[in-house]
Amino acid sequence: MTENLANVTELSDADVVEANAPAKKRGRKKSAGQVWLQDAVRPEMKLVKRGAMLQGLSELLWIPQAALLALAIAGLIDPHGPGLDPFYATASILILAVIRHFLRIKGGEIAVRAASKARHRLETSLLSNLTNLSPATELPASGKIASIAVEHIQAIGPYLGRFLPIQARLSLVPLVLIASVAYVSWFAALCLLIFGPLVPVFMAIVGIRAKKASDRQLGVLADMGGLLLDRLRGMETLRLFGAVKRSEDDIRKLGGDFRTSTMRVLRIAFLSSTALELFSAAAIAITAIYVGFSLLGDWSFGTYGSPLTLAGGLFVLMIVPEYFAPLRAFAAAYHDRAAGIAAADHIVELQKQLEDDGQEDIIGTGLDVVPLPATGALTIRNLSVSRGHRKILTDVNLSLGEPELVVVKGPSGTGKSTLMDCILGFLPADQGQIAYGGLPLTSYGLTNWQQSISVLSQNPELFHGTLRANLRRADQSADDATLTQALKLAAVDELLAKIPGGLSGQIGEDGKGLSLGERRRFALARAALREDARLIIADEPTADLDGATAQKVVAALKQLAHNKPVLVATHDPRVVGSADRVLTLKEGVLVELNEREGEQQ
Amino acid sequence: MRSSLRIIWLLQKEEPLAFWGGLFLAFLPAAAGIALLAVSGYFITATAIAGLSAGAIAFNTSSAASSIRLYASMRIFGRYIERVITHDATFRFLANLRSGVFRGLVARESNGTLSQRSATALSRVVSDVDQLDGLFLRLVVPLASATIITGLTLVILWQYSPMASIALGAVQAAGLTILAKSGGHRQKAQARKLNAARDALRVRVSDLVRGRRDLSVFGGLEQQRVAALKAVNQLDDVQEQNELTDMRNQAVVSTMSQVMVAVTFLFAAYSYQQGQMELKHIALFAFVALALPELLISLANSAGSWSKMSGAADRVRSLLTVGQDSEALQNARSNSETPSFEVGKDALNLKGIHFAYTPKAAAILDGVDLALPTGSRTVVIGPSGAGKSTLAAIVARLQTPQSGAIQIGGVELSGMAEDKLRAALTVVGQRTQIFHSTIAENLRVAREDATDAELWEALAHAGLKELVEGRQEKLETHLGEGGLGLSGGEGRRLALARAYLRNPEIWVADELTEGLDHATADKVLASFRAMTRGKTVLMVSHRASELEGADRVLVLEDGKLGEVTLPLSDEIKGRLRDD
Repeated sequence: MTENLANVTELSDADVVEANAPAKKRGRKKSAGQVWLQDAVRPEMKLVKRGAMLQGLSELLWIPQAALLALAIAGLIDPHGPGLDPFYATASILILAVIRHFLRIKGGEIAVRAASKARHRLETSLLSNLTNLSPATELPASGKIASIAVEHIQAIGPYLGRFLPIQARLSLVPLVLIASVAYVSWFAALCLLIFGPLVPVFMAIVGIRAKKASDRQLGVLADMGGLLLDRLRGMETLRLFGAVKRSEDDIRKLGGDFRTSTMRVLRIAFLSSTALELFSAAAIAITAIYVGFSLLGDWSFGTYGSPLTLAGGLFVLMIVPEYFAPLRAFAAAYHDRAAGIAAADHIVELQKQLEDDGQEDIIGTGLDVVPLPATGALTIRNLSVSRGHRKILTDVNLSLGEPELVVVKGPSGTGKSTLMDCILGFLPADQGQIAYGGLPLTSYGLTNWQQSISVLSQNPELFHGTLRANLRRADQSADDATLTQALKLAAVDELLAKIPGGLSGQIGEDGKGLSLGERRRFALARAALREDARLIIADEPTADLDGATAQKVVAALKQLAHNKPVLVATHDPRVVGSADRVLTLKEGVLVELNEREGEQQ
Repeated sequence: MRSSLRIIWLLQKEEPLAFWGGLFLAFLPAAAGIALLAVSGYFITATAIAGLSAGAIAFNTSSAASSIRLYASMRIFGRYIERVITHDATFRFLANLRSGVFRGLVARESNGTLSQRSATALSRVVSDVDQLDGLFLRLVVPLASATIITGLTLVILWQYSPMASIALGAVQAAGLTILAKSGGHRQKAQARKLNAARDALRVRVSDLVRGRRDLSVFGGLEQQRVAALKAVNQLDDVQEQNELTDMRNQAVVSTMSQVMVAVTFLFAAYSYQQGQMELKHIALFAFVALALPELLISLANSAGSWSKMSGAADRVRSLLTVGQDSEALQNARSNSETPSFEVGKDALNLKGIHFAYTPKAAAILDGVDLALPTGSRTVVIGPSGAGKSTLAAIVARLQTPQSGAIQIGGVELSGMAEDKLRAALTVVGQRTQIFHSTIAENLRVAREDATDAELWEALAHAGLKELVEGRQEKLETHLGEGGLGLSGGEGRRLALARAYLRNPEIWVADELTEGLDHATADKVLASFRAMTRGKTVLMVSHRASELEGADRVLVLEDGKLGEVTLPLSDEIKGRLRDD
């Protein structure tokens, strides 16, 4: 909802949300995002206030400028009344203008820098939250998190740097302006005092109507971009079925529906700025007519005894537009507030997820770190693990020490991946212990332990960069010959010919340009490069590979198992067939089969 | 800038009434606002002079008061109508622009040059279109009304005091120049930097999130965080610079308006003292000077987004051009012959096909010849990455080979009309797109005018009838997020149902059962075989079960096709997935 409105707002100079805002304000409950946002920007509030003060001061200096100008004009027209020399008046106005400029820039800089600081702090804390998180935590799609880091946190900048200072000024500047008008004429001041508060009241009334209208249209307001994206992703299908032309028409038609429904909301929302215009124009007109008739001598009220002078009248008339200017700025910046709150809602949602999962104590957070022995045996005793509230592993026992190829099999969903995650220290155990060389994993330090294992995950992640950089993640010091050898072992050395530039060739995020099979084998090469690894873990290494390629992968795993234990989770019979030892995971318990049974299976 | 102008011109051509009407209406309330202040100032001074001379000069108060009322209401209601009309026109235009961009993207994909197929690239384009709304609302409208009104005001004021109006014009022109500069090249470079910093952070963070498993094992989690932090610093820097520039622009314009008031007044006073101007017009000048910069302030608020819009306009325009070219190509093809499929002749014939993804990369297909007699069933096997799917894409004109000739039903593929090609040939395969809409709409992608009975028939043949019948909304069930999620096998069946509705002569199956388990794969294959009885079939596969019933098996290796004798040798079988 807020997001949709924010989209509309971009188009409408903040009208919808601006109209919507007082309605929101009236609601008793603040959204979680709003509460969070207030907390998040608290450290910078002092700076924001200081910036706002300087900017407000700059706006108030208009009072002497207007007085100077009014006196100078009056002096020319009525040489006998109070007056000023035009040249001196101009010079003073210009000097004041320079001071105002300086104050405004200074205040603006303070506010912008404060916003930048807040943004930076939030981004940094999001990043460290992400890095400290257990990798087994289920997170929203990476694209969503990236857009929180990139777009949503950025949206807090304008809220802090633009909206908050204007809001702070709004409570001071108009009041001082009214006071200055009241010095000349209480009647004019009274007009402003009545008209000023009417603006927000009318905006609120319009805002409630606009909100109702937009609630009704919510279904149609569905993200236009979303539709386009959906069709774009399927463009191949559309082409194959000759439906491109039709999709173009669909998109145009939906754009039309979108227009009709959005305009229905905007037609109401625009009334709010019309209210602003109405009152500011009415105030100008009334002031002008009042001053005019006073000067003609027809009216003689609203002042303190002596009749209104020309200088006084001009002064009042010049203050009136400035009186409505902060309101106008507030309305224009309201979009920043709405965008900031919408962004905060997203951030809060993510943070909740991070906290829910992140607070679990993960094995290996011990402080006293023992160096990891070069060899040893991995022993798992009575391991029981649950995820969420579901028990996945109940009583798992396993011992791994000798170089061998061990297969854990079982249908998908039985907890093979969970077991792997536990060995890697990504998941905490409810009960039981995982130890290496007789000591629990905790004693080596989580990072040390993790970095002494080689892993081939089910969906291996390759990173934006060269082939070489990707491989060297496993072994920083490996030379090109070693890298090539590893690629050969994993039967993926044909990549060197396929990718322009060989080892120096670029691959994109998600291994763009590589097929799944190639990515899997490339990741195997990476895993093989870590020669000091105590253990190699592979999760479904042959899923979706053709026969020849799968054979190559199995052969490579077999070869790696000559030197160190290799633990494979799979249900592929081709891998099971070449295993030295086969274990079956069933109802949370690991059962070892003897060789004959293994063959039967 | 040129791209922006082109797109503005396009808007003008498509919506001339709203465009010019909107401009005219924008001009009225802005002018009324200035007139309101000017007349008020004039009214006060004139009454003061009349008051001073104690009735010696008759002053028509009612006419001044009524013009104040007129201008006030013009400003209020004119502004409202103007906003409604210009926004409506913009939405109208964006709807057309979106479909134009869509056409361009499809065309670019078909040229094989859509380098980044990822969702981020696509969503960039989508947001580009949305960004262009400001082109009319925040650039053309305020700029045009600022220029016209300034000009008009100067012409009017010229009659009272040429010197004061020159001063007024000079300051206003200086303000416009400063704003124009802020939309200029340096800003454009800044916007580009901002985009680059955003993309960098996006890539780093999604790498960090998706790769955190591999990163914590292979080390580099810390490195990745440092890299992401670097991107954060860069982004914050650029963003701060942008915000500072915006803020300074607005400050400059505001200061400019004070300078304008002071200077204009000084010149007006000088003119009066020289006897070149009437006394009562002095306040008129001062108040015009007070009101005129308001036009600039609305421009200053949007100046920051010009450079962004300009970048978006560049990208959108290039897509529109691609779209137009593709339309021209389609039109040129539209008179092609209709392919005919006779038994004994080749339904599909490929000669000497060469294909590489980039000029530098090694060739994927290096001289492929293939002839499919009408009614035959051919299977192409080969190791993964050998180019089997590329071959299927080339046959379907989703990829264009660098050289070689392709004939479908005796007609050259390169010159064949799109609709005739799509009626003759279709591809079913692993990349089935399910759209976020109803089952019926998802099926009618294949044939718009299919009746419900025909949809049911297609679903029955694809083995999806029971599933859909079990749903309450039947054919109106929504698919995709928040709706019915289809499993891999069901998605494949939906693709089959679509193809059945098309009923083409040539069926190309691209890894039809990839990623499906054994039992599901068998069911999908059975449906496929039943549907394609008597048709020309080309299957691309690495699964043994797909080979059944083939007339011919070919191996694609090292960019060339080789015939394999049937029954298959063990060596070939060993290369295939045996489940």
